[in-house]
Amino acid sequence: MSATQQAGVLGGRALREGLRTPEALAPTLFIPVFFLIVNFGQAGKIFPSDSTPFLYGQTYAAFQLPISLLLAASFGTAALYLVEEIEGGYFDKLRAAPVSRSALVLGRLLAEAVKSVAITAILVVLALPFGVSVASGPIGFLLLLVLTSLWAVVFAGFMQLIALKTRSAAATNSGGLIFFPLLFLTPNFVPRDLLTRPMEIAATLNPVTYVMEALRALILQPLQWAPLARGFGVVAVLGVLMVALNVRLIRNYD
Amino acid sequence: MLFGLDGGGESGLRSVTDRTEERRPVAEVTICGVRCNTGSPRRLAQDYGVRSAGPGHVDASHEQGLPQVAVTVRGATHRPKVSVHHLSLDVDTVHRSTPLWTSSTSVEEGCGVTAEQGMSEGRPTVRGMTPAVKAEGLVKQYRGRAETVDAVRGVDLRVRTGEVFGFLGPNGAGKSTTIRMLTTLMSITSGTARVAGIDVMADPDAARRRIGVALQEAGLDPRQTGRELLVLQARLFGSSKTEAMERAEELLELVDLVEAADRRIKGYSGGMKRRLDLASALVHEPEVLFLDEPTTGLDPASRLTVWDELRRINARGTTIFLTTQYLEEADQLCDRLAIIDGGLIVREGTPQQLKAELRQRRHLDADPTLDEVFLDATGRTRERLAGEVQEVSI
Repeated sequence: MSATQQAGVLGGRALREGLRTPEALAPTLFIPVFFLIVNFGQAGKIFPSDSTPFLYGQTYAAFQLPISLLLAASFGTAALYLVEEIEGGYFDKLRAAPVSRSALVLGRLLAEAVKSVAITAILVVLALPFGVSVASGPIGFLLLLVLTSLWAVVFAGFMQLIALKTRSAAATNSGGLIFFPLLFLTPNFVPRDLLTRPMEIAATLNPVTYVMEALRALILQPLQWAPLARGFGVVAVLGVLMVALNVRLIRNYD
Repeated sequence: MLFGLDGGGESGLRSVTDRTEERRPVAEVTICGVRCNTGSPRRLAQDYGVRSAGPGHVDASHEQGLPQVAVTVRGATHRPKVSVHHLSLDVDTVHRSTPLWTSSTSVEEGCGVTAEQGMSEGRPTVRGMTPAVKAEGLVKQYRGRAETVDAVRGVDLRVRTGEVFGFLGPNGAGKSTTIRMLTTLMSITSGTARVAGIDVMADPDAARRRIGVALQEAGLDPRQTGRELLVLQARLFGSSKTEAMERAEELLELVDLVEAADRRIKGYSGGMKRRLDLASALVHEPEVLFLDEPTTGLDPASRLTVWDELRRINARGTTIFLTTQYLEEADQLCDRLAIIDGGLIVREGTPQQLKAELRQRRHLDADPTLDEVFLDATGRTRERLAGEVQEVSI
C-alpha cells in the first residue's frame, strides 16, 4: 500500500471519528457565525454598502465573512484527537505498523481539509441572508472552498506540532489561541490601506492577511488573480513547512 | 573466582552459582574455549570490578548426564553478590568448538539453538536458528533538563523462536523502555537489537512487518467499532479491503468478539479491549508478539481468558515476548524469564531453574516461589517493594 493510500485510509478513519462526535463540530460553526453577526451588527451602519467603495456593493457581512471562514478553519480538532490517541496508546499502535510517517501526518490533515470544505459551504449558505454573495461565481466559490480548507490544513498542522511536542491536551488547546492575535493583526475591519501605519506594517508581515485578502477578493469581486496568487502562495509555503516539520517530529518521536 | 554454570534439565545452561572465593590477578572470561560476547565481559567489569575480559581458563564437564560448565573469571576485585546469568555465547562457535553439546540434551541459553530428541542413534542433534529477539548492549538514555537518566544500561537478550519469554522487573526498571526499543517505538542510544533477524534501527519498517505490539494501555480508538479497527489495522499492513474484512472476521472469532464486533470500542469492558488489542496485534500474523503487561487491570476471569489466548497464539508458532508485574502469570506462561532491575538484567532462566538456583544457593528445603526469586534478584524486601516507585518520565 502506497503512502497516499495509507493517508487515504487514515483520513477516512479520522473523518468517521469527526462524524461520530458531532458535538465537537458545534463550536466550529457557532463561534464563526456569532462573530459574523456581532461584527456586522456593530459596524454594518458605519460601512453602508452603497457608499463604501471597498464593499463593491455588498453588505459589510460580505467583508466580514472571510474572518468567520478563517476562524472556523482554525478550530480543527485534529490535534486534540491526536493528543487523545497519544495518551490512549493508539498512536503507538499506528507507529508500530509499517505505515509511512508522512501518511500518519497527512491522514488527519486530509480529513481536516474535507471537514473544512463542508463547514465553509455551510457558513457561506448561512451568510446568504445577510446579503452576502460570492461575486467571483461558481469557480470563485470552489476556489474559496479550496483556499479555506488549505488554511485549515496549515493551522491543523501547526496544532499537531504542538500536540506532538507537548503530548498535552491543555498545551495544545492553549496553542490554538495564537490564532486570535494573528487574526486581529490583519485588515479585519477595513482594508489594509485604511489602517494606521503600525497596524499596516503588522498586517503586511502577517501571512494570515494574504489568505484573508484572497478570500475577500473571491467574495467581493470577480476573479482577481493577484490576491489569489498571494493567498495560495502563503498556504502552499506554510503547508509544506508544517507537513515537513510534522513528519520530522514523528520520525524523531520517542 | 570460579562460577559454575549449571545445566538445568531440559533447556540447558541457565543459572550461574558462585562456587569459590578464589581471587586471580587477570580478568578473563571464556566458556568452553569460546569467548563471551562483548556485552557480557563489559557487564562483568561493571558489576564485579573486572578490569577487562579475554580468553581464559574454562572447565567443562558432565555431571549426571547434564552439562556442567565452570567459568573462571580472574581479576575481580570483590566477590560477586549475584549470579553471572548474562554470560552468553556465540552460537555458531559453540556448536563448532564444543563437542560436549552434541551429546547433551541441553540447549544453550538464548542462542537460538534447539535440541531435537529421538534423532539417529538416539542422540540429540543441535540445529541453529535465528533468534526471535537478539539484543546486545542495549542502552537508553533520556536527556532531561537537569540530568541524563539511564533507563536501560546495557541489556543483552536472546529469545528463541517459538518460546514465551517473560520480562520482569519492578516499576521503573526498564521493562517498557526495552520493549519500546525492540518494537521500533523508541530510539536506541547504543547497542543493537534484531527482531526476527531484522535490525530494528536499520530497517524499522521491515521489523514492523514481522512484529505485533500490544502495549500497556490497550491502544484502541474508542470511536471505532472492533471490526473497523481490525480492518484498518489489516489494511495498514497491506491487505486489500476484502482480505482485511476476512482477516478481521477470523480474528474476531479467535478472541471471541464476534457479537461485539460492530459496537463502538468505548463500550467494551477492559477484558474485551485487551482481547481486541491482542487481535489487532495479530492481523498480519507476526513472527514475534510483544506484549507489555497484557493483563494489568483485568479481573481474574479476564486474565485467564487472555492467558488462554496467549497459549493459543503461541501454539500457532508465534514467539511471545511479554512483560508482566504478575509473577504467577510469568510462572504459568513463560518458557524462560529475564529479570531486569535498574536497567540491567539480573537473572535469566526458566522459572524452574531460577527457583532451583535460589534454593541451592540459600540451602532451602523446598523450591522458593517466583516472588522470592524476584525479590532476591532485585535486592528488594517486600516492605521496600511496597513503597517504592521508580518511574522514568519520557
